[in-house]
Amino acid sequence: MKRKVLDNLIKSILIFLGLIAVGLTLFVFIYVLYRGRRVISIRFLLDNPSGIPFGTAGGVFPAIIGTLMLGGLSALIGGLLGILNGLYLSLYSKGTKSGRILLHLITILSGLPSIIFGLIAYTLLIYKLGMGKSLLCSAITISAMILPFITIRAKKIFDEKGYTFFIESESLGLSKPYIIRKLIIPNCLGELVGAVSLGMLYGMGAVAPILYTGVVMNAPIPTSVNSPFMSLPYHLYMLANSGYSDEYALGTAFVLLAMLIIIEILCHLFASFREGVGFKRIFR
Amino acid sequence: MIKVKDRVLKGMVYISLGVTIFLFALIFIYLIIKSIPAINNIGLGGLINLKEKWYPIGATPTFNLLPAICGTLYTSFLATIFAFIFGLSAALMLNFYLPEKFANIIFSFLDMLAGVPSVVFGFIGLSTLVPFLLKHFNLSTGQCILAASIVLGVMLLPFIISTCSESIKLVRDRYEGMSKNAGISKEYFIIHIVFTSIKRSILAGLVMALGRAIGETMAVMMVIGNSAIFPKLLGRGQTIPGITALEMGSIGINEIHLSALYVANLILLIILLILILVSQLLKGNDRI
Amino acid sequence: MFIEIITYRVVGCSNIKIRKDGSLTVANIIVKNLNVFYGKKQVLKNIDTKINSGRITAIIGQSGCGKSTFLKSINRIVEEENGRINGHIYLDEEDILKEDSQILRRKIGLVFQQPEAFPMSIEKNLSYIMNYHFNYKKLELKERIKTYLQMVGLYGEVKEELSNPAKNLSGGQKQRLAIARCLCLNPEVLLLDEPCSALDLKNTLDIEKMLLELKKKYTIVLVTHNLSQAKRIADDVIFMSEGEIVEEGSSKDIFSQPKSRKMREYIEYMEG
Repeated sequence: MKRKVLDNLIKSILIFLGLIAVGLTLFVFIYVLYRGRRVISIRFLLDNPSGIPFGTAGGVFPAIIGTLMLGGLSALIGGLLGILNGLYLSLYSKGTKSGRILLHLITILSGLPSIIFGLIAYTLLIYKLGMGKSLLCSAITISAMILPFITIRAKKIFDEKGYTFFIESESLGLSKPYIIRKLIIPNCLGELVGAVSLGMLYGMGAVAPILYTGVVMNAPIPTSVNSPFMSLPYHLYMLANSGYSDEYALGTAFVLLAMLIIIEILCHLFASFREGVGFKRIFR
Repeated sequence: MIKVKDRVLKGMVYISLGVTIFLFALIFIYLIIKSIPAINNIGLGGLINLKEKWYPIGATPTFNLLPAICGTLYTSFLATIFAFIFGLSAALMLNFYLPEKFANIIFSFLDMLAGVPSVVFGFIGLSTLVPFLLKHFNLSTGQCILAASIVLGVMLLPFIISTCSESIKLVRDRYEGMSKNAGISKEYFIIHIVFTSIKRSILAGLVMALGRAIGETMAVMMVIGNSAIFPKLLGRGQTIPGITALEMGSIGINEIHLSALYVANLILLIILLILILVSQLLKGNDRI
Repeated sequence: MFIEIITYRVVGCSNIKIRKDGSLTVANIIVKNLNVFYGKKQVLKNIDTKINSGRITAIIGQSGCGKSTFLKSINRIVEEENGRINGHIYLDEEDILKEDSQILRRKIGLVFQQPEAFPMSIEKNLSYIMNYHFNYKKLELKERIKTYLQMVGLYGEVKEELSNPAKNLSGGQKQRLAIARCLCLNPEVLLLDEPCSALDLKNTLDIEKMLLELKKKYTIVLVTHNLSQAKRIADDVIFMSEGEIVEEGSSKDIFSQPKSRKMREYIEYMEG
């Protein structure tokens, strides 16, 4: 009898605490999406920011485009290098000492705080190399940050969906690069796109690394990789921290979250279409 | 033709490897080199002591990093504890008490939450939690260590929940059939079997979470108040990433101030390396 | 007419050498003082043996005795799994450890235990390999795919679905597809690692029939844990234990009068 009371007590405590945890996570989405939706209009999405203090009127269009450009460019550099590193770790150096050391190194790097990338990029790229605050400068920084992240995921994908095919192909006298080009990459493409997109989302949301390397409060849509740019998270940070316009900050957060969700859903769709499952697996 | 393409791909793999190693050698070496001027000029006693303040722009600037180090550790520890209590409960609830379909939807949400940029958390903390603390705790300001810890704790939740869930699933697969036959209640199973078998891996996960927490910049910076004083739960505080992000933009390249920031980040890195080492030791040889 | 010529070239004797004395034969494998290590662990110890051409040699022994590793060292795939090979393996006169591993693997095909079908169509499973090694025109490629699938008795079953994904094939079909993949290298030696371990009796007998057919053109080595299979199809038998060869000889001798105690125990154990 006492056992039963105790059991029920444990059960209710766990469910109580668990519900709070799940509620907190849902709160993040609901708060932004529910309260932010009123700010969203065509004008907010497609206009340049204006007003005094700056950003309290108009829209966030250049910031949306800037964020996407930054994400795309970083995904291109970091994604390519990350996938190539993943190939090396999984297929070229599996089980060797150098491979293990490299894997440990990359694990450490993936835990490196984003601010360290920002600090070093700022002193090295802006001061030492004399690059101006620019999209390219920020993209290099973000690429370095997401590189270990993508490397680890790519390695895992190749280990799981490539290694057995790889060894069997090698036993038929095929060369490593040929197997990679013809079998491994096509077979893992869906997962690789997913991994790179996750890295891209992670990079798009970061503020610390781009703080002094390229992002500005007011800039037109960048015309080249050498121009400074606007970014949604930075815009949100400035609006929220100055406290001028809570409403516009909410709108910016809404757009940021919506972009995140849309890109994630697109990735899921891409992956499930490749596996021929269709829409069923959007939620796992 | 095949040979040419093969050679190009092979070259690319090795070039990318070279770039990666070069890049990260650069980061570590640069962090150390840039720290040297401050260590030489101020000395370790000037960088870490109990008396002085972090006051880099005065007539006689002082560079005591200890308040920021303490602030970083205080916030991170508290956040990890919050995240652990709620995260473990949530993981158990999702695995034992909710129907699988429903739990999977929540797991998807948690996945997505892990990708939410940290400024969004900072913003929500700033516009909901800070006014709330201000109102109910009778404070002069709502920006404090507690606010930062709560925001950081929520950010760690997805990571903690997924780590716990993974271990719980392993235990379930191994023992649940057995215990069902023995007629043990779910709760008894959780307390006596799950807890004892996942202790180590959860601890390793917590250390990793702590490692993530100490490096978090924007969200913490937005709600902690950024005062270079020794941290109190309901008072303002400062973290190493916070001062770096706030101050580096306004310093010239050769100033000792910048070098002091490099020392701060080097310390951050060393703490991180220790945490990674500890978590690897805790994990033992089961993984990697 | 055209088709016939191609079939003759493939199924015929392009891999068969003419010796000086005029006899037709495929290569013998001679192994001298072979040691194989994985890390610090020595898996094979002082292997000395000769595997005869045109016959089926079965390697038997308890699991973990190194028989799979032996097979993998002949193909040198051990090196890709970070093993080290010491000693000599000759394919007729050439020392294969000195040869380029890719060229070598073309001569010595290996079929893994429970091989995977590559994640592409049935056709591509074969053309993927042939496109790398040979420069066939499209039409010839198609003919060859047909020929090799016929050789393993798969063509009749899958001729309608050549462009379907190979992952939908059954276990026995995958096994035969993997053998066809090896055959399309035009090898001299065929190494098979437990080709029937996951198959039912009918599939097993099919594959055995096929091997008996193929042994006219290839030197075949197979690892098996199935004694009755070794008795049915093997000409020679090598019995291994703890990384060493304990006994070898013709199948008849070895099963009727095992010399060593280990071999007797093994036979008793396997036959219950």
